[in-house]
Formats: sequence, C-alpha cells, structure tokens
Amino acid sequence: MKRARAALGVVVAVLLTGGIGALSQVPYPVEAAGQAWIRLSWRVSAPGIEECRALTDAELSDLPIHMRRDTVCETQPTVYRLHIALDDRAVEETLIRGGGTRRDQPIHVYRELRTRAGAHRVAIRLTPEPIGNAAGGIEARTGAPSLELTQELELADGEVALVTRGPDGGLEVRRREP
Amino acid sequence: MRSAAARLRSLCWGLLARADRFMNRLYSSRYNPLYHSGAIVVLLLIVLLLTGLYLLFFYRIGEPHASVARITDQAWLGRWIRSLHRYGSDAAVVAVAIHAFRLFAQGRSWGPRTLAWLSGLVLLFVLLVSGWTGYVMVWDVQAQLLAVEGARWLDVLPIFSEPLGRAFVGEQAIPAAFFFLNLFLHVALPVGMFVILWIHVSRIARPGLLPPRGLLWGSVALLLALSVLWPIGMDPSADAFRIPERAALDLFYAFWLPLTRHLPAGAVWVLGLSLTGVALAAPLWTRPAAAQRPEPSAVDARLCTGCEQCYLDCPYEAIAMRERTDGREGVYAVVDRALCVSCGICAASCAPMGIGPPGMTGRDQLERVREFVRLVDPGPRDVVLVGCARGAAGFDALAAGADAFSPAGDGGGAPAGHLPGAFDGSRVFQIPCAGNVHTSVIEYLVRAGVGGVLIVACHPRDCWSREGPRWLEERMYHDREAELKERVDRKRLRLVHASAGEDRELAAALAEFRESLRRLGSAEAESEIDLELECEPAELQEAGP
Repeated sequence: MKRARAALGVVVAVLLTGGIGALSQVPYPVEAAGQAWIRLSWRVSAPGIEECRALTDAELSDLPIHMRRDTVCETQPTVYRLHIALDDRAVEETLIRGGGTRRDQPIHVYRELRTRAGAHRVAIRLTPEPIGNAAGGIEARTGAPSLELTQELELADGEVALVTRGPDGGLEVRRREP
Repeated sequence: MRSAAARLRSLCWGLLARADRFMNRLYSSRYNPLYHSGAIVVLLLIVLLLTGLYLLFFYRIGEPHASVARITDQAWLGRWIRSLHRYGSDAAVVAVAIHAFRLFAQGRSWGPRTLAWLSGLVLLFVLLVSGWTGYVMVWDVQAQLLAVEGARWLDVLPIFSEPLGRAFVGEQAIPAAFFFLNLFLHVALPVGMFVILWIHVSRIARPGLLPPRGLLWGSVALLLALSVLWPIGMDPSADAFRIPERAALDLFYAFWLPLTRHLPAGAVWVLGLSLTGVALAAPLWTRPAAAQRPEPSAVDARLCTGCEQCYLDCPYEAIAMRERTDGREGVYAVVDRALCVSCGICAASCAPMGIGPPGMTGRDQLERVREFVRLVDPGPRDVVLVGCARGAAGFDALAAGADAFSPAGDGGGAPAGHLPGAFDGSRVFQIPCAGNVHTSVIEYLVRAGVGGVLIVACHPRDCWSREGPRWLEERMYHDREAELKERVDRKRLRLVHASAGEDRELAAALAEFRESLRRLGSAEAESEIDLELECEPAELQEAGP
C-alpha cells in the first residue's frame, strides 16, 4: 500500500512536471495560411504654417515693457489627408495630425492592410491639407511634402510587404529578398 | 458583495482542502508542495538567478537570436541550463498562483495581512513583466508577438510622440538600445523582486523562506530532469517580412496573448486595469463585515509578569515589551492592534491568562470548557475532540451541518444551551486555532473525567496563524510556556494533525485513540478541579501601568 502510494506520488510529480513542460511550449496558430499583409510605416515632418503679424500700438501699450515685440507669430500645424485604396476600393480616408500636445511634431503613418496572398493593386496618397491664410501681409511658409504610390503587387503566402519612404523621400515597397 | 465574496471564498476553500488532502496522502504533510508554495517561489527565484547568471555570459544584445541559438547548441550545458531557467520561471508562476489562491481561500488577504497581499500582487506583476522581457530577449516568433503586442498597448497612451510598433516593422534595424533596455529590465526586475520579497515577509516572524530539504532537492531534480529529457528548442528568428503562422507559446507568461490580440488596445487596458483593481481591492471585499471582525488581542497589564513568552510566540511580531510605569519593576506586553491578526496564540502562551483577543483568552476558554462539560457531561470512556475550527474537526463538523461548539466571535457560536456538534460520535470543542488552546483547558477536560482528549490541529505548514500547531505541541510535550502540567495523564491525550477535508484520516485517528483508551480503562473524575491560576486580578493592584 505504502509502495503503491509512493509510486503514485512519483507518477503525479512526473505528470505535473510534464504539464509544466507542455504548457511552456504550446503550438499556437498565430495566423491562418493564405494571408498576406501590406504594412505602411513612415514619418513625415510637418513644419506647419507660421503666421506672423505686426502688433498695433494699442496692443503694444497693453503689454508690459519687457514683453513688447513688433511681431507675433503663431504656427498652425500641418494636417495630412491619407487615402488608401486596395484593388481600386478605398479602404481608408482619414486626416492625420502631428504628434505632441501642440501637434507640431512629425506625423506617423502606421497601418496594416490584411489581405489574401495574390495579385493586388495598392494606391496610397498622403497630401497636406490646405490651411492658413496667405492674404493680409502675413508671412507663410510651408515645406510639407506630398507622397503618393500606386503599384501592382504579387504577394506570396505569408508575405509582409512594407510601404515606407525610400532614400529619395518618396514612397517605395520593401519586400524580403527571395 | 461581501456575501458573494464569502461564497466564492468558501468554494475555493473546499477545492483547496481537497487538493491538500490528495497531496498529503501522496507526499505527507511535511512535503506537500501546496503547503510550501511561497517557499518554492523563493527557491525558484534562486534557481533563476543562478541559471540566469550563466546565460548572461553568452547573451549578445547585438545578435539576440543567434546568441541564444549558440547557447542552446554550443555552450557547455547551455541547452539544459536555458531549459531549467525557462521551466523554473514557469513553475514560479504556478507556485505564485497557488500561494495567492491559498491565502485568498483562507481569508488571509485583509487587515494586517493587506501589506503582504498587495506586495504579493506587485511581486506577481514584476515576475510576469520580467518573464516578458526574458522572452523578448530570444527574439524569435513568440518574442516578436510579445514585443508587437506590448507596443500596441503602449501606443494608445498619449505619452509617445512616435508609435513604438514602428520599431518592429523592418523599416530599420531594431536599435541595440532596445535589446539593452530589455536586458537591463530582465536583470533589474528580479533584483527588485528580492527587495519586494523582503517587504512581503516583513510583518511575519520567522518566515520560512525555503521548503524542507527533500522538497527543495526534489523540485530542482524534477525540473532538471524535464530540462534534460525535454529541452527547450529554438523557434525561427523574428522576421518583420513574414506573417508568423505558428509560435511555441508559453502559456504561463503569455496566456493572455490569444485573447488580447483580437481586442482593441483600449479594451485591453480597461480589462487589465479592471482585473488589477479587483485584485488590489481584495483586502476590502474579502474582509468580513465590521461586526464579524475579530478584535485584536488585549493585555491585562495587571496580570502580565513580563515573561516575554507571548512576545516570543507571536507569529506576526505584533507584541512588544515596554517598561512598566505603574511602580512595579520590569516590562509588560503591549499589542500593536494594526499588526494583530487575532489568532489567539498569545492567549495560550500566557500562564496567568492575561492576554488574548476578547473571548479567546485562557480565562474565556476555561469558562467555555466548564459550560461544555456541563452540557455534554462526557463519560469516562468518551473522547472529546478539541479541534481547530479551520481543521478537519471544525471544517467537517460544519460541513456536515452540525453546530460545533465554536468560540464566541468566530461566526459560528452555538446558541446557549445547545449541544455542541459531534464528529463520529465525539463532541467537538472548537477553538479558532490549535495554538490558541490554553493547556489549562486540556487539563480541565482530563481532570473532569473525560475518557480521552483528542486535539485536532491543522498540519503545521497549513496553519492559518502560521505557528499554532508547533507551539501547541511544544506546550504539551516540551515544556514550552504555558506548559501542560506534569500531573495531566498524557495517556489520555493525543495530538493529531488533520486539516480541512481530512475527515477519513481524523476518523481513523479517533478509532485508534479509542482503542488505546479502551485498554486503559475508565477515567476518573475529580469533584473539585483546582487549576491553580497563577494569579487572580482581584489580588493585584487595580491600576494598570
């Protein structure tokens, strides 16, 4: 009886330990076969539009002496419009603002288009929205680029194609070398 | 809310009692791993520290996957040590979960134990985060999943100007700084765990930080055998340009991944914070209603002789000795109410019966036992069970619906005049903890002519008050204050350990005890039982210190 219990104790200990081993490496099917992803990832600096104007005498006199300046400038952050179409069907049309509390930091595009493996046509356009008012002697400055890509892609099973900015600043598709 | 929590706790206690009983049968109570879950965590942390130090020599942040593959394939014993490191960390999660479950089921998560509960949760969190960083270090498919998922969660917080997830898309090589930070966290967090562990046990006296030697080496040997027979392999390296189809997931650390991957990051935060909030608030929703909470110990300074025994016995360091200010020389005991868990162990360590929670002092127990003898009128061949309310005698008597003769303030006191509950034909004199039984109660029962007194304590490592059975045994058989007097016939006494659920074991011990008593013959009752209380309050000066 005592021996049988000891044997059972060993069996239970082995089973419990084996259970740790089994649960430590459970085969987990992450994604089904036959899929392919197009990943969009890049950053664009959004310098914004600085609007400056001269202060009137009345405004100047309201300010303490140490704060009086001839002109004041306000920067309006650039807002981009992102348009994504896959196989000639629009999948996203959205406005993107820059990071930071004042929204004057670079904007980031980070998206994942999940589709089936095979031939696809992807069209991406990122354009700055018109903002600000160029009239009235206001000095305006913009340097926001527009980015565009339209490309046919033959995606293999399980492949991830990355759309990002190339060395020339334009959009390009990067894929794993075969 | 409280009643739902009490029902849940009761259900958990039932499950725990069954599991404990099963393990006790297999390994004996001394080596029952469920009783040593906390100590096993410490042991595993030490194993992780040693194996981690070895692995650190070979790990390269510049080539994480390749260096781990080299450890696995080439380094001396590397494959086994890496496997031991991983299986040890998995076993640590299991041990932490069992430890937390035990304390929750036993209602040891509120009041003075709040600090231990909260620091335990912090330890669990740090352990899981540390494991996360450990898996990311390998930079295989699972690592990629964990890193991307973590970045997805963090990216919803308005604190990063750039999405962290972009670091893992293959646009640029992952910066070495990422792997350096990850490695730093994987080393620093476990070091921090030892500091939190110190806080975790800071409110208990004589913490048992390591399991008994047999269990210690047995656990290490089993994990080592698993590492040799089933070593951890290498998954393919993380690849930003391939969709991961399959990963060998460690469910101990990434059990949440299959669920959270399909939830919006905001929902993951809401879910995670909600669960964390519920766990952190457990000291509030698991504590009994104010009227049912036991009062902490109080000291009758007039009776305190300054012997320091209660101070030495208290498992929670809730008693301090102070200089007297009442004109008498010496020191007297003072209870810190914030640290006292009302276990009543101090009541049994005090020969003059001058300390204990209200209703649980030696004098209160004597009153109760006199009433018990008057009601039960036990015969010279009867056995009385003096049983811990949380052990087999209390648990099974209550489970069977009997209104066991429970102490006042324990939530189950029998109405005046009612017969106490019985176990297998023997009446049960219930006490809140074996360590609370004053030896005078045992002496009174024997001298009242009871055939035999079977004291039923929980297994020493299962004591809800940590050291009750240990002190009781020393008081009965090893002259620890307040010791059982020599004049008490030990043949009519027996101390057995039977935790909740071990009714069959208790029944067997009872039958065997009855048989030994049968050979002894009938007990004789004393008409006048003088227990020689060492001092009476009336004889002392009235003013306290």
